[in-house]
Amino acid sequence: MSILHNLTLSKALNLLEKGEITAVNLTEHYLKKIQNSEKLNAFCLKSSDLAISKAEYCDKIMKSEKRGKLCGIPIAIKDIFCTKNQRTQAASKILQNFVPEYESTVTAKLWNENAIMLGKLNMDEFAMGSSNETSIYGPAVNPWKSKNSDDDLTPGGSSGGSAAAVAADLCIASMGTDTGGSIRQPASFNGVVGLKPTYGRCSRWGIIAFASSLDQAGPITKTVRDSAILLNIISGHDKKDSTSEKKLVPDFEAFLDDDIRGKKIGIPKEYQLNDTPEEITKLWENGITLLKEAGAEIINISLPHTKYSLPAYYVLAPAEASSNLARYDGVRYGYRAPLESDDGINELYKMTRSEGFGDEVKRRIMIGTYVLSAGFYEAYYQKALKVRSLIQEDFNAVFSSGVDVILTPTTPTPAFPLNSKIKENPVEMYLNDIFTVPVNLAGLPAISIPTGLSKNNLPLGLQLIGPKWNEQEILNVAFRLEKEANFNYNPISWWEDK
Amino acid sequence: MSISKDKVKKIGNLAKIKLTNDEIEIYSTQLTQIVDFMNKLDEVDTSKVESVINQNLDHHSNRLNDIVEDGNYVEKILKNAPDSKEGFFTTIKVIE
Repeated sequence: MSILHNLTLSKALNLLEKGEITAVNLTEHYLKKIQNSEKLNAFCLKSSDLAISKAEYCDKIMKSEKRGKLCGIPIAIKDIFCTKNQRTQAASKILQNFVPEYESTVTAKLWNENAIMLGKLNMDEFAMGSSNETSIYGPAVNPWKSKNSDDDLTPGGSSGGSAAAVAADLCIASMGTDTGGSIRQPASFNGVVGLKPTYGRCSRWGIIAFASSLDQAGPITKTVRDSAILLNIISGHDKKDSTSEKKLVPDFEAFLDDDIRGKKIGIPKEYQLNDTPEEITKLWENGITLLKEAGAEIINISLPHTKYSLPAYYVLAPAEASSNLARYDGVRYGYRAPLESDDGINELYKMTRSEGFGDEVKRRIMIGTYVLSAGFYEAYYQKALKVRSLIQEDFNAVFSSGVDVILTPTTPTPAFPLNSKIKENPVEMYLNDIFTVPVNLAGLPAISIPTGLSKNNLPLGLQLIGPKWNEQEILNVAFRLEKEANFNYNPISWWEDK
Repeated sequence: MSISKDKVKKIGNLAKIKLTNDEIEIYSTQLTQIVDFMNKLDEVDTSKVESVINQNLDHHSNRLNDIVEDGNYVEKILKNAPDSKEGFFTTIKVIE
């Protein structure tokens, strides 16, 4: 087996530093794998030339002390981050051929440390979806297959391409965004690690906006340590995003000591649903046992407003989206619909938006417009804001009672087949986010790590939720859980063109 | 509560999205389903709760002073425009 196979970020940094591999070796290795993995549809843009020239530069400076903390590490980026001179569309037709003149703060921080960009990753259109099926590029495909069927499975969403690319070893790590579970759910479906930092930990500048009070960038990686390394890089206040906080950024990696003795782990009863499949309950119980054996104290807790999280989210997120997406008018950038000679400005707006947005995006803009319109603003939008406060108070009460970290399943099911849930009733798809959405509403950090397989041999993840500004705590418990669960499975590479 | 086809047309108009008759039909059903789902919020007593737009913000001291620090890159700004002329975006003729 090649030394380059399934490299983690920390291992790759080590090999590069020792000179056992070069950045060019590593980059060419991934570019070739990406080329041979069209069936996964994970990449919507390959920046091969840029990657090779950056890799050559990295090799030249590898011995220098100023080489940067990610020198020579090939990373791929969700199509929602603006990347200078590299097409960025958020998987939407309305941003057809949009080429940003600027770089998002999060990606700029990666490149400043001399990480190498391999390309842009597939996602649900404007991050609205849980299955990757709303992408203009068609869905990315999960590298895992159920043991009983050859059906293509969803990689989850919205950061489905980001999770599939890491699981299929098409990059060392990737970046995603999480508005209601869009990093953690795909991470769980693909057997990789996904971290959503505290709201305000990372700058949102240059990330195409979906719901501004909920959106947050985060890494998708092969290990918890890799997640800590990347969080160290992307965190911090940015004067271009007034919602990024001026908080001290601890060294998250240095905090990983895997000692969790005496840590109080909360188990919320509301996350045990009547229809939760047995395999999910078992996975959760197994996680509880592993943490207990590692010396943690298990505490039963209650988060009474949990069941109102989804309805509150599906008022607030579309409301913010309808406002954020008002900017797409066919005038300043992106797609403009062809018009008849007697059409006016209204037709320009309406035709452009009608042709440029996909079905789910239109639906959410309409819902958002409705809940913000006169006569409904109080009943829906204001009401949902208040419920959101109660959800946050639930978490505050639990953490101030001494609980360090909360353990839950990440998703109510393993990955499901593509085309199976885009049904008449969109609410069915929304239910996927039931365990992840409360975290965004409360602005908390959370991580999903793979800890077991379903009865059909599909990866399943557990979620650890922490108090605000306490990523180090969830990372450390995740680090220990990762060690104890020893999830050592990889998908069989059916997708490669040999 | 059901969202009638007329209501859907009105929302489409506010959102500046042109809808086909088929879409109006489908959205009427789907928006009704979504609104029914949202109505679950009525069960919650919020009479003693204040509404805060972005409660994820710890404070508001991060605002920048309103001072222009850059500018003069008209070309860059127009680079992605579907159509432009002499340093301006162009739209179609607006006659009120």
